[in-house]
Amino acid sequence: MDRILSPPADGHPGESQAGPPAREQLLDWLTIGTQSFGGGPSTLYLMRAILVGKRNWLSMSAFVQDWTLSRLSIGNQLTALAALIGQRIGGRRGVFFAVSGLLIPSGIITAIMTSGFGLIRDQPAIQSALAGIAPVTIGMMLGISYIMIRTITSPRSWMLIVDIVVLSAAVGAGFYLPGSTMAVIVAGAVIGTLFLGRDDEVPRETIEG
Amino acid sequence: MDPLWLFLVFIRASVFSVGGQSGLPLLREDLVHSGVMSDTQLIEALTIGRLSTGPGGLYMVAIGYVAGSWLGAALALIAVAVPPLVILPVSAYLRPRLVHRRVNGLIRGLALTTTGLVIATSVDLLWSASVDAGPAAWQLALVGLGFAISVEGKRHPALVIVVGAAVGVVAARQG
Repeated sequence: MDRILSPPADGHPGESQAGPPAREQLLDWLTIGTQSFGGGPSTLYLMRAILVGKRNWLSMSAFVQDWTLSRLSIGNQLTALAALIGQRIGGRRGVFFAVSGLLIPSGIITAIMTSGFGLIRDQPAIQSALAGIAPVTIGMMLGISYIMIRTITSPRSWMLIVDIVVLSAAVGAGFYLPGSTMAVIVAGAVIGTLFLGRDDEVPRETIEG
Repeated sequence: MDPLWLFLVFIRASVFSVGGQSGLPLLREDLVHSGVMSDTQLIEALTIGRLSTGPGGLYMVAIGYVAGSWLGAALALIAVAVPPLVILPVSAYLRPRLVHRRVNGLIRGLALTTTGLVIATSVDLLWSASVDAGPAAWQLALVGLGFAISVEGKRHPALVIVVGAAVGVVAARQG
């Protein structure tokens, strides 16, 4: 177990091809994928509760290190976290179990739900319900955006102003420059690399997956 | 619809997702503005994504299903799964550089701009989803409820969506 808990001296996660039994790994990732309702926070909670708490397959510090690293990943950060933990626990086979167990069953469930919804969406009662569901969903998106802003903006006042200027420019571009999404994202990456870095802080983006 | 084009649409949105629904503005640009799906269908897919299990990024699977049925859903699922795997080969390089100024500046810049774009898209979608010139007062109240519940983070999103659906049905009967 020490091999799993402690990364090698060079800081690279242990790429053991053995790890815990394959069946246990796969079942645990399936559990995490199918029982985490509501997105990132519940997925992250289950990962920690099962893999760190129940199984003790990695330490809390290793979990936090992988979580921090996953936030530098492109794409879905919880998938990146699952891949990193899977690699730490079971090498390449662990990566396969983690990513497929987390995404495939929940992806199928999502597709089935969408398919089922397509059968009933034109009924008048459903249309009325959607008139209420749409604003709630949009409110939740804005809430997640608020959490993002709260966690990534700097606590220092002058840097906070810079962050708000960049954020406001992106909002304005989203409204008034249709078709510029890609250009805005690239501009944000360049501006961030040149002007928004902090030597004394790790990135603190949201855990929302 | 060309499956390769659809896959590239989802891969691009997935690559530039930095948390939450930050791939949404790109997906809307590619799929709604090109007429593949409507804003209403986009919102419906987002709702299903919130109700379903797994990471939040799987809302793309719901959008994929609407855009291209089971093949679209499968392509979207692959697009969600593949880009994050890039972290594995680069993790050895990145691990000691987590606090590097340029690296966290890049992430911060991406996160701020994609969040700004999501805010603009959300407000735009709210107006698109409105029957009249703009949202009714009760719809704005539901936006506030969704916002508050999301920030609080303790209640399941399905509960809030059920409340929104009930309010929508009652409002339709009264007016």
